[in-house]
Amino acid sequence: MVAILIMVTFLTGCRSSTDSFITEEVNPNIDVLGIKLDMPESKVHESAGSKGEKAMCVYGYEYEYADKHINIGFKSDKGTVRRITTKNPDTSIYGIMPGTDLLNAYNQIEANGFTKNNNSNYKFYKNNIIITIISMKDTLADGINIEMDPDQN
Amino acid sequence: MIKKVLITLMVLAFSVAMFAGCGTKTTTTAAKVGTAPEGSEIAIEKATMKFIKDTNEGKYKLLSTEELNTWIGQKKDMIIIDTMPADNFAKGRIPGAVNAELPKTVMADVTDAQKAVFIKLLGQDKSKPVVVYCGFVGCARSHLGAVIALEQGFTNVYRVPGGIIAWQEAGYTVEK
Repeated sequence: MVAILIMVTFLTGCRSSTDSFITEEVNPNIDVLGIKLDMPESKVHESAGSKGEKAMCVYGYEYEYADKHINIGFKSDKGTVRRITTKNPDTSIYGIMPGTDLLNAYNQIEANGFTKNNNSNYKFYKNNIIITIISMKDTLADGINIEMDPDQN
Repeated sequence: MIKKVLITLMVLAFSVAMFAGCGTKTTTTAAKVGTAPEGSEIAIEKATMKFIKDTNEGKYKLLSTEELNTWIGQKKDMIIIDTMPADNFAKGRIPGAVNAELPKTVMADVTDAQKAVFIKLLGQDKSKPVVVYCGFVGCARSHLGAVIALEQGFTNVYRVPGGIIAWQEAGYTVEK
């Protein structure tokens, strides 16, 4: 019994640290129409102001809100947000707005403690979160993608 | 009197239980029918409509999962390009495939860097078969790849609709 209690406490502790990183650090840095990681699908539609167009993904499913220039990925088991992709210049992730100079975007990401992936110039990691910059001509950050690492969540 | 009422109630309860039991046995759930019985027919139709539109516009050829497996078995000289993100590619790919990630949306979303990597993998021999795949039928990455290959002058361009998911479902060897 004691062993079970210790185990539950330990597991809860692990989960909480991941959750608190998302709720306390990551989500406050996401300014995309009020949409946050882990948000339930119904709230996302409400924030986006429409239902968008659904499509299946390897990791769950997604809704494309073409008029808002955003695409939101969901976990199939929980129906909560696992990825936010924006090309909307009125939005920002970690202060980076689509259209920002690429080098400034890199500096901003690294200043927030993200580490560049060895195999990609556009991918950055911190704990269980991945930020990917979409750059059409290698000069601007035309889009920003933030997601929960599917292998860790 | 009380005994009689109790017996009547017990008989009634027994009868109800019996009928309920019969009802359960006779009300069997009909097996779901459809293109993929475990899937949604409306989703399949939607993906099919998009797939046909893309294929008609793209003008590339199609290659089934089974045909590709035969080609691999025959050691056919070809280029197989996986257009999924690098982490998906690392987790499992069709044997011999190389990787160039493309977006799952439209051609306008293909970045210069993505296009350059894809074109580099095509090589110089324009008559060599180019086989492109992504995740599954509803995924457009392979469509974009096939269109880029045709634009570059390659004449034998094939798209494998079922992608890596169909390949895994078929039970064929997955390279990691």
